[in-house]
Amino acid sequence: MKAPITFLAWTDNSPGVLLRLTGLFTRRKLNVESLTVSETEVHGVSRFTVTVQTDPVTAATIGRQIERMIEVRRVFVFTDGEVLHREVALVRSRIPKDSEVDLLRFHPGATIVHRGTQGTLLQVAGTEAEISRLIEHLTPFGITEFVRSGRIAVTPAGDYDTDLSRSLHDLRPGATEGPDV
Amino acid sequence: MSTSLAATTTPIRETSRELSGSQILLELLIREGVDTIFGYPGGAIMPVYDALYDYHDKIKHILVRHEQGAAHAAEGFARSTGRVGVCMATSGPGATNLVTGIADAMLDSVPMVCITGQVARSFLGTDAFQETDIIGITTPITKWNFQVTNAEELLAIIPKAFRVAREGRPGPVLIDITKNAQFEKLTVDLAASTHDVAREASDPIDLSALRSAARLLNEANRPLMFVGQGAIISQAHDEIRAFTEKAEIPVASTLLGLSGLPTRHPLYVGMLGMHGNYGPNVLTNKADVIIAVGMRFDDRVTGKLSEYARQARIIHIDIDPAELNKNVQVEVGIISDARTALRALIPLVKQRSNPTWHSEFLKCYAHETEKVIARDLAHRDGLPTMSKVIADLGVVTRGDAVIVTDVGQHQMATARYYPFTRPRSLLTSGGLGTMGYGVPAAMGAAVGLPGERIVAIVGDGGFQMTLQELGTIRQSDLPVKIIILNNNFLGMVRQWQQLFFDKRYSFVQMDNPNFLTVAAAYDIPAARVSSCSGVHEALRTMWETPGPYLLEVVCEKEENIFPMIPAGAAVGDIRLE
Repeated sequence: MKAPITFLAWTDNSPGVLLRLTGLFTRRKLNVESLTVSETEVHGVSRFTVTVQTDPVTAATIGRQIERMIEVRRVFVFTDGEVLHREVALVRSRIPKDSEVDLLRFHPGATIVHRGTQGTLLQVAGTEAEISRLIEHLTPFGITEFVRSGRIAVTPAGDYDTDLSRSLHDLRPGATEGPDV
Repeated sequence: MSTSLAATTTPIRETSRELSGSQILLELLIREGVDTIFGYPGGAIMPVYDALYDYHDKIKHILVRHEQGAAHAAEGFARSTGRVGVCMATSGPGATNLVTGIADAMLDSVPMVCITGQVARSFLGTDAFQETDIIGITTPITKWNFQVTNAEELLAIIPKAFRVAREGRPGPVLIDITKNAQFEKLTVDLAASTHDVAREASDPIDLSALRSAARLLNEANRPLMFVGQGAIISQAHDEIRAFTEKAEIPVASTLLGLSGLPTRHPLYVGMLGMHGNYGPNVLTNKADVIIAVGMRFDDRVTGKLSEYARQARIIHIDIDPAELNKNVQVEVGIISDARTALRALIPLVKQRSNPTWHSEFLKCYAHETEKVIARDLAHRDGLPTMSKVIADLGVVTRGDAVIVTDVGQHQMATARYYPFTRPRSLLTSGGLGTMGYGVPAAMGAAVGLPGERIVAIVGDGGFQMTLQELGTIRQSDLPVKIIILNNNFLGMVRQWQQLFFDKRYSFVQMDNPNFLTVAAAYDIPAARVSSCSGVHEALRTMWETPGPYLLEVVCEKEENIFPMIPAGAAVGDIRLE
């Protein structure tokens, strides 16, 4: 029943949004597995990518609870099959120089960014699985340092139907009378 | 949305002048229609209190005895009037003392704006004197909060705070203002420079959902309507009446929906939930179509979810999309305020009559009367039951009072036995179940509704959580009648210990002070009655005495509130004894 769910939320770029948004997960004792917040193409708007393991019903409810935050402009809830997702990792390894060619051939997303006494630093971008494969490949040589970013995700077609210029809160029902039916 | 919740801002023509942040705050509050603040001064809010000194003819400030009292009074003000309640406190302990009231307002969707002072911006994060991160603390219990660190921000933030508090599903907003922002001078033309993004017209109501709802209702054999707090907030009482009278659908209420339809309306069938009436609870599991209006299927209403209304096709009307399908899966969801949706639905439902279905409720009520009500209300030698006191109060007041309760057995007795005749005549802490709510909330109602008679019904436990507010009642001369139903027990906990913990009464007995002496110390007239036969007369004296009054009724010690759905049991497993 539980599966990785990715929430994409566009919010005002203001202090406090992170706490309020993540609180909607933590109050249910859901562990946030990955969280990325960044600027967007629209000035003053931030984009959250949050991944948690949960069931679809809970995910839908949390999505609507995020949606009612005053600072939120849009939110979408996706399963893994519905989004293209990527991470970035930096890995320092004791890989011998003569193994590097092989490694780069098997992992086209990887590049070498530094060589030093603590080992060779590789940067890799890709899916979680691609990064995990690189880690497996490097493990026998010895990994001295490893850091991995949170997930970022988009839908393949980018069809969000988003007008980020307005707060979602401004579009909700409640201020005026409904139509006479 | 209801007109009383709509913005009351009036355009004021004025030219630029130099104002402090504190003056700007007060000017903006006045423009939002604020004429009352419940508050308590302290270091980090002193510039605002200094400015308030010059505004006493425009803004009435009620000095409470503890900030929790200010928050509950603002709630009582808001719930009794439909306007936004405003409370104010200093930083640190002043702000944290508001927290219980804010959480209460969040769960019961009460429009409230809390203003807190904060240390100067340059001290933020330094563990300064009376610094707490009140934004962090209140984030999960506010609809929105914001820290203002310069005077100019007030121009946008204060109007937005009121808009957010009142519109859609109302809720509490906290605005924390650093001391430097309160002092800061700004040359400003208030009429020209306040800018809050006006809302666009709301999404139109989903017509196909409305038609689906009407079709379900028109084909139903055993339809049942639930009304909740949303019906009160949107002032849907006329629509509820018109709707139910046309379609002849029995109406049950949540605790917070009480007074949405008069208790004695022939189609009103009682309260839902743990201590609700027998009929609406058991027949929830026989209804074929349920239309739930402005309620949220709280666990105290549903009992065991897996055995709740499995047979019913459910229509849910709520203004908050996050409530749809949260606890109960619905067939038709309508995102709208209750009044708008019911107005649209009335022309679509058929005029019907359904005496067979209605007679099932009457049968249930007869059964409940025989098993519970007759015993609760019987005249007896010796101490009265709480239920009997409430029924007598209904006779004395003829339902023409604003009733405020605290939390516990007396609250359930009030919900069950008081005859509500008009909307917004019950103020009670539902979602949070806050003991100590009653007296300060009644103060707020008394300030908000001058000329109305306000009766706070409290237990001996809850009364002692906020009894210092008697000082506020005296100083501000608020005509609040307080009835303490005193059984020297934390009665609801004792009842649970009796029924579910083998009668192991663990820390529920109260050795109380002499409440008459307490009242006398505050110069509030008071009386005590300890016989069933004396209750009616004592209530009448209270009712007819002008100004505040405290009546202590010594009640039967171990009265239990039935019916009762034990925690975790299904609505069909409701116990009558």
